[in-house]
Amino acid sequence: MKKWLFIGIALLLAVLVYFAPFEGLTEPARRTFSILVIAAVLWISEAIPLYVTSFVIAFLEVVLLKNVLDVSYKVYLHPFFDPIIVLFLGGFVLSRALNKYGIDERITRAILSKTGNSPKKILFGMMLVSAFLSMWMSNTATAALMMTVAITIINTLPEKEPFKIGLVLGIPFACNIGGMATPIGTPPNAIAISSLANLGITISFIKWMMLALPIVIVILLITWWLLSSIYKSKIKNIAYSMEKLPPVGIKDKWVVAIFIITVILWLTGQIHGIPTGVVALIPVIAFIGGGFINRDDFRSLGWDILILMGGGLSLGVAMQQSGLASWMVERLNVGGLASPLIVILIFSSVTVAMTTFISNTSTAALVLPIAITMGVAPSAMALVTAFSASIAMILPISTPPNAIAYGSGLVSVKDMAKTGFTVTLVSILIVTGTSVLLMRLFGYM
Amino acid sequence: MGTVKFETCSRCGSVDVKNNVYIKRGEPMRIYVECAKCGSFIARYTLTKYTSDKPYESLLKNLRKERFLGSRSAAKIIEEFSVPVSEAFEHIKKLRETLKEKRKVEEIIVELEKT
Repeated sequence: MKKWLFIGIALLLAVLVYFAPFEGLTEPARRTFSILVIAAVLWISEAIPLYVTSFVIAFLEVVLLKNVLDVSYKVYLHPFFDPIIVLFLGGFVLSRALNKYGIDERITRAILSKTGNSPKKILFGMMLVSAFLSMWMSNTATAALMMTVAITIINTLPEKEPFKIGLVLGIPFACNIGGMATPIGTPPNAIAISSLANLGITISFIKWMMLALPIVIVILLITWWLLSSIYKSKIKNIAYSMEKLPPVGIKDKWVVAIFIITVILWLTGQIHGIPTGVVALIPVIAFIGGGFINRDDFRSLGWDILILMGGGLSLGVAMQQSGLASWMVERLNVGGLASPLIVILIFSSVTVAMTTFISNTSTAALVLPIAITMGVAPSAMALVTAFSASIAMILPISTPPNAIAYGSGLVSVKDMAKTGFTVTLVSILIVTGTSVLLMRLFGYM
Repeated sequence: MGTVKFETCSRCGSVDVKNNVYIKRGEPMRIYVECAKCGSFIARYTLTKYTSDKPYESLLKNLRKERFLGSRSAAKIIEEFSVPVSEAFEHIKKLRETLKEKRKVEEIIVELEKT
């Protein structure tokens, strides 16, 4: 019932927007505006599965814009196999191989064995590993792995030990933060890169990391400090042991080798000139062709996420082609009204508010095409919007890692909201301030 | 509403079974059901998800392969897991007593696919 109500609202708003007396809005732009409104309502309400909304977008674009724009319908379908989607596919395969061969678990143990046994150091180690793995793997998979380790540690602690809460909260927070660091860390990053590419602005893999990594490190350190101060432990050392892992096999070594080669090629794109999307085919070919990953693994790679991203990109293309984007630049040109920093801060806050309640990919797919048309440095707006889409720390429903941590029964909604709100506020300020600073430094503003 | 029945040996009709859990790295887990009375093969299950008597730990293992589109789908799965397996187990036992299912498992599967 609710589903049909939202579908009805989407259609009604689309019609209202179409007939609204917007000055200077051409017929194609008007139709695209209606599609944007339908996408917004469906993505926010989740009345139909998120990825189905992407198909709806593609369908409406082809049908409604065919006769009013001199553009091939293929233009709206290309984004579904955009190089950034292939990059993500490569990332998914890499992530699956790291997980299947237990490389993620070995990395976890290697880092934790070096960080020491005091609660503060354990929390630091756990957050560091969570953030590092989230840079390359799915945030959900990372959170699930790290929670398994956390449970082992927690089982050795007395019942009313506050450190337990800090540890359980630290994992999802670090996973969300870590995802910002690489283009493949989380879908919003990819949507930002692709949206900017449509404007002719290229951000390479290494450039993204140079911009994102300092921000990630600062937010991670502050979050760690906050958690270890709020959930202080009286215990000096925690003795815990983990099950022994099987010896490293030849296949494990191959997985690591292919992972390293892929990452090096991603980072050195400007030297060898092979696009990141093409490099991403290396793990796909090597792992699937080499039998490391089977058909079932391939089928369960997260195709729905790729389709959702494709829908966001396709919407961005339609906005550009129809002139809706440039109309927005003219009408919503807030760059001349307020300082860029204020505009970026407002956009960051709006994105965070949205991502707290809806999927970060949907948030980015909706906000990014609008953010880059605000008349303020589009690269800064894209970067900040993508980062802000990952600042979802307040509620268990904000991100899958939060839900996983909450599912342990060790933290309450109040615990997460209280700490998450502080982390969110700090993150907004850091993301906004540092992004602007770094973008100026790298000549994007 | 689903249906429940005991796995039954087609050779001797016994409902006493032994589960041979086959686990191999890189392959889905398989259960070979053996008749505890005559030792015949009864059925094979290929598992996509395994839940032990420690559901949260099982959930974490399952989630290590997952990617979610949004947190709502993740929250739904976690919510399902938060209902203790023991509770669901008791419900299933009661359902079996009530329904007294007579059809073979493959017949039930075929009928469900049709609907």
